[in-house]
Amino acid sequence: MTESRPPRPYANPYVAGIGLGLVLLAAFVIMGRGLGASGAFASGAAGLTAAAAPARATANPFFARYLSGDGPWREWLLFEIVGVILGGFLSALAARRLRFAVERGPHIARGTRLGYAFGGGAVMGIGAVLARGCTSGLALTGGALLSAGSWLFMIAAFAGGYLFAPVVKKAWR
Amino acid sequence: MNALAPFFELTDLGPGAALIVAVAIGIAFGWTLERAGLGSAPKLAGQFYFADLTVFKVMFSAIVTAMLGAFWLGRLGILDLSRVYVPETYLLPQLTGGLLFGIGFVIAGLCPATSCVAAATGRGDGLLVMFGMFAGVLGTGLAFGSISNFYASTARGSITLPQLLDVPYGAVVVAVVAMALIAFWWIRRFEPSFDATQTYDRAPSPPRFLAGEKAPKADEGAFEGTASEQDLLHDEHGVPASSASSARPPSSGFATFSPRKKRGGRRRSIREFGANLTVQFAWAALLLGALAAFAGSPYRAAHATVDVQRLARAVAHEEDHVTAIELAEWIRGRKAGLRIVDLRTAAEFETYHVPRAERIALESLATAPLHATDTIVLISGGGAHAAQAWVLLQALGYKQVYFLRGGLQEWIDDVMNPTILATAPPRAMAEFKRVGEISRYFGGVPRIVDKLEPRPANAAGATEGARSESSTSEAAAAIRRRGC
Repeated sequence: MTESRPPRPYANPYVAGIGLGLVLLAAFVIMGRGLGASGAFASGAAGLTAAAAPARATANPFFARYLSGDGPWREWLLFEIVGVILGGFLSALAARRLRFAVERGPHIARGTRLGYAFGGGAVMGIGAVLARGCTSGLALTGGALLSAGSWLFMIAAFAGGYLFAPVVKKAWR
Repeated sequence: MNALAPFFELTDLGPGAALIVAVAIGIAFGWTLERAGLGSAPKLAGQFYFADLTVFKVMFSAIVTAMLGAFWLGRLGILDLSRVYVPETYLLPQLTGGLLFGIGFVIAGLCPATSCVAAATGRGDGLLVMFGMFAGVLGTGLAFGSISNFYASTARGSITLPQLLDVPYGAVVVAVVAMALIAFWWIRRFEPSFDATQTYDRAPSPPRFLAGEKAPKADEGAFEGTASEQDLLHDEHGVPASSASSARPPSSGFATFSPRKKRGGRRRSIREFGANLTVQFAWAALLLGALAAFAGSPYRAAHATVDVQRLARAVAHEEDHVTAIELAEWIRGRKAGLRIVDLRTAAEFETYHVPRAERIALESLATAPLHATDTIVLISGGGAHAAQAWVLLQALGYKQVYFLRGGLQEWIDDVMNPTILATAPPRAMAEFKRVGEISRYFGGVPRIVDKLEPRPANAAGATEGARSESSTSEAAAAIRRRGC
């Protein structure tokens, strides 16, 4: 991070979107499944519960699903998320955007922002469990496959975001 | 012509290779998100204040691209679209979950995948969103008992919009393309500074900072970093970024506004080319979408060929089924790739099912998310439906398929309630001891009795008749009442 040149500008969002669409299509063609993120968190949670309290984990139908097959630590989405972390890191490295920082709106304290990040993440976690997916696994993947539930989720998520945005306006604007 | 894809199901791509593919696809996924700027929370949150529509643009360009690709690869017979897993629909849980998710999203400023990208690029807020997400999933998972009824409610299976609206697949494709392009065109009209050379260089902070106004708070707000870090960010004239503009978040790429030498010029022309390219892509999408409306179904006809000789051999050599005890041993031994498919109704499944079983209706077996390498065990109430499903899966090309010969009844009799006569020969007693141990593992009650009770008439070989179904249900309900 001793780079003195400024970071590169972001890509054209439409070009990036087409690129993302091709990545998703590659997942369909190679694996017969789409992308995902929340499934990796769920698999990790199942694995952790199974390590701490095996009987409780197997008795829990939500966790048990991730414990079948090859087990929670060999879940496809977990490996995919490791890739996401690697890919994000490499891209930021190449574009000189690696930086230790807490990104936030102009009128919010650092600690508050971190609290919002954790709290917002937790609320998203609850929503993702209920809906069986998140922006990647449900909205993006199912959106491209025209799943009815995915479009319902997408509309509901945007609605929830826009309706709640005025409440947390101070955090961002 | 046989479809070539999905490769994972139609070729010998093993589970290890699948995980390598997972990492590779993940890298491309993370790279694309970061390139678009979706590792930066203020940029994502801007979506909800109409300040930055990157999220919408990226998401819908991606959906249109992948949707058109999947449709046409399916239509041309290259991709077997029925083998691509379509997320299932649960109306109320997804409506509620979606609303909650959106609320969490605007609070956190990042969604699950983008939080990983933010964390990977050093953003502490990204890491905290990941922790929060994990806590939310773990907590909801632990409290799953209290929401499981709601979670399973209003299930509609893998239903697609074309099925729901009863219109051709291509009609929905063209409608989605049209909606996306109209939205993009609308954004372009109303987004004031849309221009190939400027838009993407714009900082995520409000325009008033860009106009050069004094924005004292922005210095400590929009960009959290140490002074020395900021001082390292000079533009090409050697002016420290922090003094050139107090509101200049280095992550935004804002500094490209400053005059650049040779590299900048080349990059700018690439960007203009990219902007022109998107217009051409828009036309291509419109054309492919319009053609899709008249192109027919992207699905392959659900026909399959059967090697009758091979199937007959498998049946004759009793390679087609497993006993309940064998299945119990597989479950206990955590056999790799084991998939236990319960074909009974949802209500029956709810009452009682074999541990680790999943319910798949007979009608949706052809499109079920099963893998070629899975060991599939089919269970029905009596056994006949499972045997019929065995033939269907064999015809679809699954090799390691078995059915539980006596159905769930056999599981209840042999695993949950094994009994033996007290007068049985020692060898049978030794075997019973082994069975009893397996039984107790599953919470069963092995008994040694003086006289065998007559079993219900639907053990092995019974038909899927009403009588056998109801007696299975009763037996299953009794097991459930036992509380295991």
